[in-house]
Amino acid sequence: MNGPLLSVETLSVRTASGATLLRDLGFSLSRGETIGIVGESGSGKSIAMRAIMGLLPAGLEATGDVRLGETDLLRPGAAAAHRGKRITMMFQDPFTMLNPLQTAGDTLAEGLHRPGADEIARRLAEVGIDDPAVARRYPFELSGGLRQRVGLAAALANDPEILIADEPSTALDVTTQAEIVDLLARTGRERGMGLVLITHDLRLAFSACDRVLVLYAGALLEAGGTDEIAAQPRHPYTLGLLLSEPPADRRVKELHAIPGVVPPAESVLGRCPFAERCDWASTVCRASDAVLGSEGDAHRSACLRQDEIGPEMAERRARRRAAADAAVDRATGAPLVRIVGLTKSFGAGRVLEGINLEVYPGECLGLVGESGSGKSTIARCLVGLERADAGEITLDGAAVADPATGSAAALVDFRRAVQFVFQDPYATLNPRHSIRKCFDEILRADGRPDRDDTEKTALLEQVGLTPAYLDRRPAQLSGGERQRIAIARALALGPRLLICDEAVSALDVSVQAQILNLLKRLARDRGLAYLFVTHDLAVVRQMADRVAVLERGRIIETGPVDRVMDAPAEPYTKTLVSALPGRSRLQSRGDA
Amino acid sequence: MNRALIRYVALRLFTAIPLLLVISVFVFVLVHLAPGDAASALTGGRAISQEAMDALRAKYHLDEPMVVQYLRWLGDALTGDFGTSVQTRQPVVTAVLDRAPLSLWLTFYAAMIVLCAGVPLGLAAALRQGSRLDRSVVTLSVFGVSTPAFVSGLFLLYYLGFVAGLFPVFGAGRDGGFWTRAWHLTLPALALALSVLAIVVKITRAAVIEEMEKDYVAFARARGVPERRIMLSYLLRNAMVPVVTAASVIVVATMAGAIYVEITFALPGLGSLLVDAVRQRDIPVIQGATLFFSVFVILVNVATDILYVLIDPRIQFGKAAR
Repeated sequence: MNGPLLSVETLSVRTASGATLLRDLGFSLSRGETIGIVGESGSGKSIAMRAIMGLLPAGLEATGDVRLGETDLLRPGAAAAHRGKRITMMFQDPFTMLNPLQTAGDTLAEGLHRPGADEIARRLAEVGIDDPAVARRYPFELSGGLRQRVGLAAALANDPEILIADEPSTALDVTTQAEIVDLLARTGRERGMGLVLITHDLRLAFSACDRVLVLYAGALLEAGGTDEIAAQPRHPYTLGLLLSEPPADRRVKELHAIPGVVPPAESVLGRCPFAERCDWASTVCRASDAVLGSEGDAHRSACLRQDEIGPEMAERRARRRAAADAAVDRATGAPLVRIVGLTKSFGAGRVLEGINLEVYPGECLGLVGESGSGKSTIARCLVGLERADAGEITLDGAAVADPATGSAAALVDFRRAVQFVFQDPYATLNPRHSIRKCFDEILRADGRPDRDDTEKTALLEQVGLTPAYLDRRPAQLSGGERQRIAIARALALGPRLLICDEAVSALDVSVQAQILNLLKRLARDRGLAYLFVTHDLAVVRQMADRVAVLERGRIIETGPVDRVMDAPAEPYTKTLVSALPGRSRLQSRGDA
Repeated sequence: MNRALIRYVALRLFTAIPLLLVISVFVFVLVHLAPGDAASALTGGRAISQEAMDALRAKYHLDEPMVVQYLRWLGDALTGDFGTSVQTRQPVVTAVLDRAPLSLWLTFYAAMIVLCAGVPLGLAAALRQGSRLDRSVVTLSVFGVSTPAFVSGLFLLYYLGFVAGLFPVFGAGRDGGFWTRAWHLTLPALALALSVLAIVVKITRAAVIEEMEKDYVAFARARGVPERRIMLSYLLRNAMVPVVTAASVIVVATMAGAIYVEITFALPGLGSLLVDAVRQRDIPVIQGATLFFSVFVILVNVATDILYVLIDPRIQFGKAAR
């Protein structure tokens, strides 16, 4: 049992045309150890793991040295021979990870040596499923959390020594997320497995891993023990990631956002990959390669100037820790929008049971709840995308009979006052329309044709984009830029209330902070009110003045954000707050 | 599940009734609007006296308004009497049922060839995407679909039947057993199959390629599930859903294509019956044969929907009806 289970050296992945996606990654994994590989999209973290598993998509080629014990995994066919038996991997999305045409039991049986009902029940119990009937269910009959547990049981069926988990909790609800991560860590310990946790969430990695590797644009920038990195990050990117993560325990005036986007790995060869976005970058950073070849036991950073800028980084972190902002109670006067007794059923299922809600001018109301609680349905009823069964919606005290059927004139006013920003900006922008055409569509519908682009340029400026974007199409934009366009489009009609339905949850942390800051600025400048629908309590803490907590179609608690989150009255709210990733452990480490 | 199945089938068949009525009205009107006169067809083109003609019209109720004629036909049809053929004096039911087995044989034989050849070819092409095998399968199937069944039929007749002498060039093998029949109908079924094979090959290929990208396939590989099982239980079974969707269209298209093929191969099936009836304006036969086709199409669709449920547990009876 000596030596590491898995050792990776100089692992690189290139496309068929020679473009680098990942360069010179090195790390090792020992029995019973959990390491976290942290990075935003485009960092190469998933590609690296797929290369190790021999599951790279066609057209990508891996080079380097990957050893599983004595076996060279990059030799053709080697990975396939050991997959499942010694090394296995589970994926992010529990909704697409299981064969939809097979029962959970059948999926589990595929990896078992002696598949029998007893063995299957025992394996399900290991991942916390005590109901053996689950074995007979199809994936579509199971919740996301259960699917992820079945996936874990299936991955463990052949008793592998190494489990790689790619964002195992990202697609789940907050409370389920915590359960799955705990389950993974516990199972890893109990079985003495080596566990690799891939995540974009630094806090999550800190809470579950022994060591952490930070990847950026296909390169390793910082590596070391969790405690050391959490206590003192030595690469500006790691610090940036930590600071852009919205703190859940208090509000800050402005979130730290890393400007720009993650560049393609190929474009930053031969220099520090982070130089373009780094506040401390100097000529030396742009002239010489600065990535970590391999990870040793010690805490290491690829930053060329780490010793010079160390104190400044520490100081920035301390300043951030002190910076706090108070939520303002704007819930005074007459409400802008009032919802009374909103009820909605889909088929036999009651989704909303008499919702009463007010949004006051200029305030941000956070609407939180887990999936299936009905929070999106409220938002959709409010703009007439769904039709409520009963209830009343008023704008400025005047009833909007029903946004789905109300009179045309009343509706035009309502639509002008209330606009919507969706979670996935790519799905809401016509891929064939340029941004110019997208804006023109709305301006023309509003009777304000904009021939000389002044209005469109002004819209772009408001969301921090240059007029050059008018001629681009959605596919040419990054996720953050698309969401800026979606916000600009919503602003075109001069709304007073913007409904943001999970508007930042699909974005990378650093980009998320940019968008949240943008929304805050817009609220200040235009007196805009928000209905902020989200499952992310940390985002609510930063954005909302008041919070409404939704559980199974009922609002169970409403109040100022600090009161609800610091002293929740309802048990359900308490569960939500305590399930925030890594909350307890982070606090004990005195983190940002 | 079984009760749900029976209820579902009963419901589907029940809702087919108004559809059949509409089809019968449509066919009736179309035939009457077409140029030519049924009564002169009765005389076989011979010139007869006006009185004799009137008597003939009265006998076949051709002098009454169209609506009355239709209702009269409908009334009889409900009692199982679809009239008699103007040409052969044979009851329509007998004429259709006499000819139907051959056409059904041909259709299902061709459909079997299409599925048994098309699905594996599509799968093989998808698994070796971009290879020479892939390209030749796609090219050949496109060649097949762009050649009408009667043209490929003639080719097959000449080379496999006449030159190579592998299969009979004439006759339906009616009096022989199953294998005689199959032997006789192989060339026509092949001709028929070639014309729709490409659709199945392309759909299967596209569906399997799409499945290969799915997370659950990657996860199965990561768990070390054997490639053979991944191919059958993951790729093929999931890819079958779109193929089954197309299967109903394919069976119906094959049935329609059978009309040409029966004539090319001089087979006494429904197709040739229908063509003769149209040529001679034999309205009762046209009506009867068309209704038979419609019932067939409806049954195929019901069967497809049942197949769906068996393949995909997410689809439930009642939901598939919508």
